[in-house]
Amino acid sequence: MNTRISILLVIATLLATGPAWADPSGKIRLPNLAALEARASETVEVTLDAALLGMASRFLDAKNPEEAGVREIVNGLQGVYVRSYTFDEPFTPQKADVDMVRSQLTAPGWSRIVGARSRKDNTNVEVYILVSGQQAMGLAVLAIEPKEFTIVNIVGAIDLERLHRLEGQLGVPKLGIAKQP
Amino acid sequence: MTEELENELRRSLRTNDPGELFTRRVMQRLPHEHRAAPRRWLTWSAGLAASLLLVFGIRQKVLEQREQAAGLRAKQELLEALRVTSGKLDLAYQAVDKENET
Repeated sequence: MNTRISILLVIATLLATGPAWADPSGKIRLPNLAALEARASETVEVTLDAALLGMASRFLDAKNPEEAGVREIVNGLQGVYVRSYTFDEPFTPQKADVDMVRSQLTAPGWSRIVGARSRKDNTNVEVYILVSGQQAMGLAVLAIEPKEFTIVNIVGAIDLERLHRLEGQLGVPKLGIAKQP
Repeated sequence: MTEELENELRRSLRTNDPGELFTRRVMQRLPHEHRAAPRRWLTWSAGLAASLLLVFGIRQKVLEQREQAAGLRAKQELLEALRVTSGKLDLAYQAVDKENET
């Protein structure tokens, strides 16, 4: 619980003191992962720009509380990009692909809010946010698991409180994000 | 004098209804295709307009269906993307919690 509060405090501090000169675009260049796709047993590749998000949003049912929650989140977004590959056998991604993503996340404005590495589980999860003014304008997640490799990039104004309200819905597991003060 | 002449001319040149019988006779003497032509032109125009409306309607319907399919696909992708994102954020929090416990 303390960890969660600490993470939220970091986020709150970044939002409060983040550099106003940060690049407002939270989009990162994703590596070409065609080789992974060929080897993966399951692939999730999502590329939704602002136009497609708008189109998707129109088909979200406002009367359905779950979909209405998603709609609220999507309203401030400019893009959602996901590359997730699941393998039958343990797999290590190319270092160059991982480095390409990480190097972009060292740019001004981006901050790593979570960096968890477990040697035991052979898992490495990193969460970054791009802060512009007092608003989180981008989110990036890099997750390397023994049989899974995932890159997530969400571009636009991300409302953590709304994301919090989405937890547990639509089959989404509970995030345990506490409400921001 | 001039006025009288004018009046006389007006009387002589005024239009007179030739009557129903005269009109019918003239129409009967006209070749058949001359009489049918306006009606055929109208039929063709109406047919063309109806065809155009039909084509336009079908095209609109196809476009609407395509847009709906694309929208529903985008919605599914969005939900899938949020599911993956939430799953990985959850993994991050769990990993941090585990680190703190040890």
